[in-house]
Amino acid sequence: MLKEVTIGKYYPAQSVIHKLDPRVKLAGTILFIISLFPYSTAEVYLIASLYLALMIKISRIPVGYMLKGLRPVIILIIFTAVFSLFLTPGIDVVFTIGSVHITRSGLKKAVFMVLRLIYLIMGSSLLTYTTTPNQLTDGIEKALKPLNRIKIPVHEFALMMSLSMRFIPILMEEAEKITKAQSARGADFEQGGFVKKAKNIISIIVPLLVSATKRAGDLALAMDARCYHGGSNRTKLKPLKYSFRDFAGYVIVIFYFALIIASGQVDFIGY
Amino acid sequence: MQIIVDHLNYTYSKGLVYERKALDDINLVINRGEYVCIIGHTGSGKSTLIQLLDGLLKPDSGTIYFDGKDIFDGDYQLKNLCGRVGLVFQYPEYQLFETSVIEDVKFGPRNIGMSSLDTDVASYEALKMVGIGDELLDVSPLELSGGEKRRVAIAGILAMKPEVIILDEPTAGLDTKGRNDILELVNRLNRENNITVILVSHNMEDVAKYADRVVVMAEGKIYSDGTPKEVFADYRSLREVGLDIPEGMYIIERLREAGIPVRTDIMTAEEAAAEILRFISEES
Amino acid sequence: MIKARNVAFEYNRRDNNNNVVSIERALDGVDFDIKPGEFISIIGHNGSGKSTLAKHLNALITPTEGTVWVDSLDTSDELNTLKIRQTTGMVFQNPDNQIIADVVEEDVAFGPENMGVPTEEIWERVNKSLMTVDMLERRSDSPNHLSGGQKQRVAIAGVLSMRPRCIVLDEPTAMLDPAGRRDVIDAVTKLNKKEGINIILITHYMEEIIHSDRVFVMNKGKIVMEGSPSYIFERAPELEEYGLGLPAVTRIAHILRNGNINIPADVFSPDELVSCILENLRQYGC
Repeated sequence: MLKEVTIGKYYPAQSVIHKLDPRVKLAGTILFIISLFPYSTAEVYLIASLYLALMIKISRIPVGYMLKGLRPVIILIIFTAVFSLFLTPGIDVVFTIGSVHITRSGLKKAVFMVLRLIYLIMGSSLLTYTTTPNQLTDGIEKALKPLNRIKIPVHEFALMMSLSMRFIPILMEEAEKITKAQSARGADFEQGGFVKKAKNIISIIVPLLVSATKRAGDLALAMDARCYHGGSNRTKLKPLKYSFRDFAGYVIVIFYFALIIASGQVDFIGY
Repeated sequence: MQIIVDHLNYTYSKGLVYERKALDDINLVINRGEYVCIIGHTGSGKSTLIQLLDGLLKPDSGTIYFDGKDIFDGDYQLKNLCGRVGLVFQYPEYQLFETSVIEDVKFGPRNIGMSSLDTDVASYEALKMVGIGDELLDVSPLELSGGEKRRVAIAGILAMKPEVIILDEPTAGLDTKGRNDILELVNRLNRENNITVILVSHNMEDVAKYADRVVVMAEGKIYSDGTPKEVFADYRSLREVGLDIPEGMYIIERLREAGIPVRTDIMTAEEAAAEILRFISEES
Repeated sequence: MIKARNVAFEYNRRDNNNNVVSIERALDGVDFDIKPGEFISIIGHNGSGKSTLAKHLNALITPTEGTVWVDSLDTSDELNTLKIRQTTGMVFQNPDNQIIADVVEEDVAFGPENMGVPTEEIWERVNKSLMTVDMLERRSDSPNHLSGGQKQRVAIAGVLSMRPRCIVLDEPTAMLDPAGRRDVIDAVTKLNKKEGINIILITHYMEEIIHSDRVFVMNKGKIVMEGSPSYIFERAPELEEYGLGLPAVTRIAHILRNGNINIPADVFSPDELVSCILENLRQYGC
């Protein structure tokens, strides 16, 4: 089941977006997400849609794969739609089902909420599909580097993130293995009273913790043995360096954002 | 006929990019009291098969009959199965979680609904069987040595009084003494307690020494099935699926290929050496 | 290259309430000299002290008594620690718990990155190290997609990229299947013979020591036997006392030798033994 979740997974492909500096993509994603909030007008969303479509096209990620990423949140999307549809008060009733009135503003709100949610997920998925977890951490580390000066351990934080990325799949696999091993000892994780269920879950949690602790100890030793001594005086295999492409990327991102702000001020169709 | 595996198929990650056929039309009969070794290269489907035997996975098609009953039938109480078919996973010491050795062993019997008295007796007996002394009963399992932990984990399965015990590489990572302890224990369970043993192993010496029967798996299929002697006789075809034969048997086979008429009913290194000595002394 | 004099290591055994129950002596009066380029195997049953000894060679732990020198640097002096860890690399038992990055080449780069090696040179080292262990084509893979043997070879590459003169391997094959074990031992042997790197292989698989120049047998924290593999293999009863068994080929050779069949002491592989037996038979005229 967990394997079906595509959010946050890297999708290898050869595209300009894949090659962009992660900092550009981070900035782009953040600005794109921000751009979805202040205005709920058709123009703004038209621009956002075109922009997102263009980016997906350039990234060479199959549209089907992008849509598959929405699958785990489909219930959330439906809920959002239903809530905004039925629970938005107003006098501009479009039609009535029984005692429930659907208003024009409710309809509008539902459409924009759903679009906002979908674009939010697609936009951030685009970042993780085109950026390896390591590039992403590198990007965050480098972008946040100024915080080092106010004694925030940015390097350690980034290292922690990349170690989690490596070990989460391992621990998930291990949890599955332990679950099976305890099932083979008759543990039932679905039926039985609360106490019994809690006990059975402990039979997974404790071994998992023991193993995670052991792994952490081993890992610390292995890092020591490979001369790890914190973030100072470290060099990088893949240092982040801006190229012309990245500046062009920033220009496009800023241009998009400016366009959104500008069109948000004008309301052509006049809702 | 205790276990009948009937046209069993299993696919991993069905419908996904990583889809992989793990078991391909497996048919197998395991008789009561047998000592069966399953051998095969990593990824040959051994682990999948043993998990199906314990009802932990559901097949795509085909089924398994245990004592004549279809274990994947909707009415079958799978929960009872795990008590009767005990499965010891690889590195089973990872499953220990209780505060004391004896409590941990009691987990299984309690889960399958044994009475409190029976649980106590069965757990104590199981620990005796694997050679864990009274002084360790109340110790935290985490404080035991690697070999002891493994034996406690096996006791946790034995306490459920299984009729069949399946062990996935129970000696992995142990030193010579730890290995011998486990293998002798399993052998005793089979010979003295008449428990059917299904053992997954990479160590061909052990297989030759203990097994009544060897099942070779390759690419999700049963590649060959017979007594150790029958299976190991064809070392060339075993090599094709990435398996070696016990070195004693290999040497005997090679000598025969060179035209030396040594006897072939050889299993262990010691027997091979004795046969070579016998042959040389008779010839000279 | 590495010298140990009268090394002892003690640690406190604690109960659940963190009270010291006893003091265990994991190493007890260990002495040895390892010459540059030597391939040393250390065998012993679990708890014999071999892993504790291994960790001393990399300054991961320091002796309670006595001294270890790596390249004449005292491991107890903290100022030497980084230098020592660049000289002797270390590969551990569990392949998963020593791979840090989730891309093969980035993991191999971890050591040189820590050492502050310039980027271009890191690339060079990563390429060469991956080539040496025959893992170049998997460079962009996630370690999670590799087999145990492959992961272990990546771990070796991760140490190689630090350009050590000595590599200590602490039971690198204990968790691998036979194919993986063979690959790792082959890679290690190649490093020693082709690159002249000192190898210290800790193992409890007797068949893995046959490529080494010298073998140390450990028991109860002491080195109780030392010599060439064939010297060690000739002492089966003693080995048994230390909880160690002989590989099948060696056992057969041993019995044959006792039966006055001429089998040279350095015959370790089944094929060699077969040719030896055939040679003997020819001499008897059959």
